[in-house]
Parts: sequence; structure tokens; C-alpha cells
Amino acid sequence: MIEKNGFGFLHYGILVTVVLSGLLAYSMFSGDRQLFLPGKTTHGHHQIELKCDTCHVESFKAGEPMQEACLTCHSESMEQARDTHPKKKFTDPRNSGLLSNLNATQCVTCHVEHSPEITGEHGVTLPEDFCFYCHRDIAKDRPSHEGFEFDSCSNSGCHNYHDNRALYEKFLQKNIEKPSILNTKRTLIATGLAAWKSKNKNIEALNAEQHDGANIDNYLPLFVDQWQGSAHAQSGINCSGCHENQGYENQSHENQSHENQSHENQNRSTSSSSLTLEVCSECHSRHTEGFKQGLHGMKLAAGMTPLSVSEARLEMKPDALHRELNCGSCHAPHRPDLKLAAVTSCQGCHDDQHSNNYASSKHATLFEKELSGELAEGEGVSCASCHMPRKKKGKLVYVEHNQTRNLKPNSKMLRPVCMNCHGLEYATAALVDKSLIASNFSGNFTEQHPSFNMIRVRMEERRRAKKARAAQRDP
Amino acid sequence: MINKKVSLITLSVLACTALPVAAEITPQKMADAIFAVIEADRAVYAEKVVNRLQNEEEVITAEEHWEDEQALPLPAQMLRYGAENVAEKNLGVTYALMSTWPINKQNEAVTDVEKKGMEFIVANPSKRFYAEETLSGEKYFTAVYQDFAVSEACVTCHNDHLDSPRSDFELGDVMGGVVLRIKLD
Repeated sequence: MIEKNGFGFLHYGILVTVVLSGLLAYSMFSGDRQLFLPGKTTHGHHQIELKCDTCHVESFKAGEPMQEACLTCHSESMEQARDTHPKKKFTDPRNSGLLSNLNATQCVTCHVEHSPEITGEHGVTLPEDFCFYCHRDIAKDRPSHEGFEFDSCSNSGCHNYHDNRALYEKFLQKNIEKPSILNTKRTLIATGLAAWKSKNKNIEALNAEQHDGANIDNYLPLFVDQWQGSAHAQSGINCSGCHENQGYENQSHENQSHENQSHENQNRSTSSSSLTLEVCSECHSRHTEGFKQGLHGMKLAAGMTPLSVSEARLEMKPDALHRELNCGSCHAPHRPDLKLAAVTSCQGCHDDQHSNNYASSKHATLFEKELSGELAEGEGVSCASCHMPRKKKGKLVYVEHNQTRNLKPNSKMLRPVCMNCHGLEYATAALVDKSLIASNFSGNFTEQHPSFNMIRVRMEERRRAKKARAAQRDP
Repeated sequence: MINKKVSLITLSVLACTALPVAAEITPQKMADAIFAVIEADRAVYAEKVVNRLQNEEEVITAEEHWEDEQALPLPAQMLRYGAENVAEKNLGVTYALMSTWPINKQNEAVTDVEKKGMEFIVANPSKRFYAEETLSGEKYFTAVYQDFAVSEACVTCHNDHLDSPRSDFELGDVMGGVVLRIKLD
């Protein structure tokens, strides 16, 4: 096989192997690694798909290392959802029989990556029959479930493997007969600023004359006009608190803690155009941590460059494609503008039906009335009211900045969002109507959900049984 | 010379016998000791926390859905949470609450040993059940202990629950069992 010049099949083979190896090595270490993607990633992971080691932490080993990687990002959401099927429930050897059917200790048993052909509408792969393996005899205990298809358990309004906070009987009993629109309709009001002020009574608000930003790059007097009425100025946070400012070190700000974070020594080298998550996280760590856990900030959490709108898989406005996602993308830190971060910023990028129909929705009308003072704070409904809801922790109410947390399946939105203003059945029925969601809840829909009739029958059975037992004990 | 050798051997034997023998604890003793801790913690929580705050001082109730109700977890839930935390540590020791009459059917006896154990402890309320079993190729020492109705709340809830297969529990009855397993090397 060796040709006359001595260059034969073997040599060609070696040459091709070397060239291919070089290409692959270049793709891995200097290129974009696209060659190594075995299939399209899910919408939840596509932003970090080229940072392979985020999930494949140990030389592409599956099993525990990868499980740990899943939990690094998702364990907090699971905890907050009061996960009804956590791994720790399945490690007892008495469940080994169940695990031989379905290994519920590993996320990848159900959620496989790089498999677009089997990825469902919630953005994850999900075997249709996973409930069946352990709950196939459910009709023995719940005759109402007789004849149900094994793949019908997890539809909206019924069960969710992880999050069943809106499903247990006492909760349903309390909420099942509530009207479509509650009399007490109102979202929670954020208390962070008020709480900070009550803890920092010695900090005085700053006015325009006291600003220290004249030497900052791109300084405009307009910024000072905006800043002087902002929460930052009210909290004694001067320009140098966020921007580079040589005069900052000469100022005395004792006990300058905003949400228990120190503002001291903040002489960072940042200009107004480069305000980053790190700058804001000095004082707003709860918010920035939430942001990093959601789709908007997950690239930053993985140590990558911020998400570019052009990378999004959802429909985005063509003139927004150059933007990047950081705190300043949605907030105007100089300006106390409630509408900007709650509606305008969202609509500046998102270009889907649901977003575009917001302006003509009843929710938007209520929000305009809130802004004009016709309605009280919290009675309007902005994009943020639903997608970045207020969250209560002890006495503190703050804005959840992980906008992905309650997104899919949308039944996760029932308790923290919908039920602030609506009855449970009405809200559940609305969330299963896809055309209603596209119209941003404008138009008529069936306000009843069939599973609630089953719940009513069950409640009635409970009442009768309790009465019978009471009569038996005390005839 | 011979005498010298004999005395040396005698000394060596004496020295060997004087060395402390490696202490051993049987799986049964270990299981009983762990259960004593579980049982004591649960009794203390039921009496000093739940009973005191709920029934005597009436400042807070204990509820199954304690997070939503801003209440205390039930004593049985405390036991389950403890069991889950121990399971996470992967120490080869696991325990669980189960019953012949469970509200949640996932909590009935599953393995043959559990089934035998439950029958035994219900029929013999003052005796404990011990056995060895093999699950998924691993050998375990398994102990089953009685779980008694320690408070009125346990009895009322289980008697009134629509999914409870039994509605005539009384205080002091065996309502179920704690199954404790130790993995044998």
C-alpha cells in the first residue's frame, strides 16, 4: 500500500487523525465548543451549554457529581417548593423496590439534556408514565381516580411531582369556594426601604447640593435631578456609593447598612455605563442572588458574560438584540420610576403575544390606575407583579428577582401570585387556557376546572365521615 | 535456662491476656441505643414543646401544614424530618415510621421483615422485633419498635381522617412502628 513516494494509507490516516484532533482540541479549548454538543439543549440550559463543566463537573461522569451539579443551581427552588419527592425520601433501603422501577434519587432519571425530540413544553424531558410506577394502585384509595390515564396526573390543576403547595386537602378546603375576584385583591408591598430606614434613623436623606458625582465620567446634571428623589438619595447613598469618586473616602457614613450590607469603602472603579451586578450586590444581595438564579442572570452565575438579548430563544424585539442583561438593563438607579422596572423594561425586549397584549389587558388598566393614584399601591398588576412577585420572609417583603421560579409549570404561580386577587378555581382554570394566556387574560374563558368537582365530592365525603364518627362516639 | 524460657512464655501470655480486647457492640444494642435517642427526642418535643405551647400556654398550635399555618410541626413529622436528615448522611443507619393502618399508603410495611415485625409488635406490645434481611443485595439488621399514641392529637387526627383505615385508636394504643435498619458489612 505504500506508494512510490513513501506516503501511503497509514500516513493519510495519521494526517487526518491529527487534523481532526487539532480541530476538536481547538473547538474545546479556544473555539465555541459547538462540535461537542450532542444535541440541542433545553431552554433552561442553552445559555450555559458551552460551559460544559457547569453540569459535567468530573470529566463527563454521570451519577453523583452531575446530581450535585443539578442541586447546586436547583436545590433552593426545590426547598422553596417544599419538594414532595426529595432524594432523601428515597434513600431508605425499604424503598429499594420502588427505586428499581424508577430511580427517584437522580434528576437525570426524568430530566435528560440534549434531547430536544423528547423535551416537553415545560422545558424539561419528562417520562409520561413516571407517576405510574409507584402510584398505579391509587384508585383503591381514591375511587374518583378510577380509569384515569397514567399520563394525566401532572396536568395543570392536578399534581406536580415537586411542588404541591396548592394541592393538599386543608388548603383546598380553605380556598375552594372563594369568589373569582377577591374583595381583598392586592399584592404585597415591599418593605425593604422602610425596614432599612427604621434601622438607620441617623442616616439623613441627601439633596442635589450634596451630590459628589461631578467628576464621574459621563456626568450629566440630569442624573443628579433624577437621583435626588430616588430611594438611594433618601437612604443617604451618594453618587460615590456606586461610582468611582475620589471624594468618597472623605465622607463619614456610619452604620450605612442597607439591608444589612455595608456601604463603607465603596470606592470602586466603575463608571455609570459599567454598573455591574457586583456593585449592586453590595447592598441588594437578596435581589442579585435571585437574579442569578433565574434565566436573566444564570450566565453571570456561571461566571460567563451577561446574557445578550440576541441569545434568547423567546421572541425578542429586533431593536433590543444588542442589549445585555444586568441590573441596569431593567432598573434606572438614578430614577425612582416604578413603571420602568415593572413594565417598560420587560416590554423593551419581550415580543411575544402575551407581552404585547399586556397594554390592553385589565391588569394593565389597574396598574395605570395605581400609578395615577386612583388605586392604592399593590392594587395594580404589572409584569413584575406576576413574574417577579413580592415575597414575605418574616416581616420583610421583598421582590423575588428570579423570574423563572414560578414560570413553569404555571401552576407554581397560583399561590404566590394569582391567589392574592383571585379564587383558586378561577385562577387554575385561567392558567390552563393557553389562548387566554396569549391574550394576557383578556376575553372570556371557562371559569371552572373539572378537578375541582372531584375535590368538592371529596370534601363532602370528609364531612359525612366526620359526622358519622362523631355520632358513633357520642350517640 | 528452661525455667527462664517458661517464665518468659508465661509473662508473654499474661501480657497478651492483660491487653484490652477490642470493644464490640452488637447491632441489636446499637439499634436499641439509637431508638432510645429517637424516642427520647420525640417525647421531649411532644411534652416540652408541643404540649406546653399548644395545650398549656395556648400560644401556638401544632399542625401538619405548619409552614402555611405558622404552627409547630407535629411530633411524628419531627421524627420523619430527623430520619430524612440521617438518611442524607449515608451512615448505614436509617429509620422510618410506618403503620398497619397508615393514612398515607406509602407508609405501610413494605418488606417481608417489616410485615412480620409489625404483626409481632402489635401482638406483643411490650416486646421488640429483631431480624436480618437482604435488600437490593445489601444485608441489614432490622429492628421494629412500637409507636404508641402519645397524645390526643395523634388519636383524633388518625381517627377522623378520611383515609385512615382505622377510627378506634385510643391513647396508649400501638398506632404503628419505627423500623430501624443498620447496614451490616
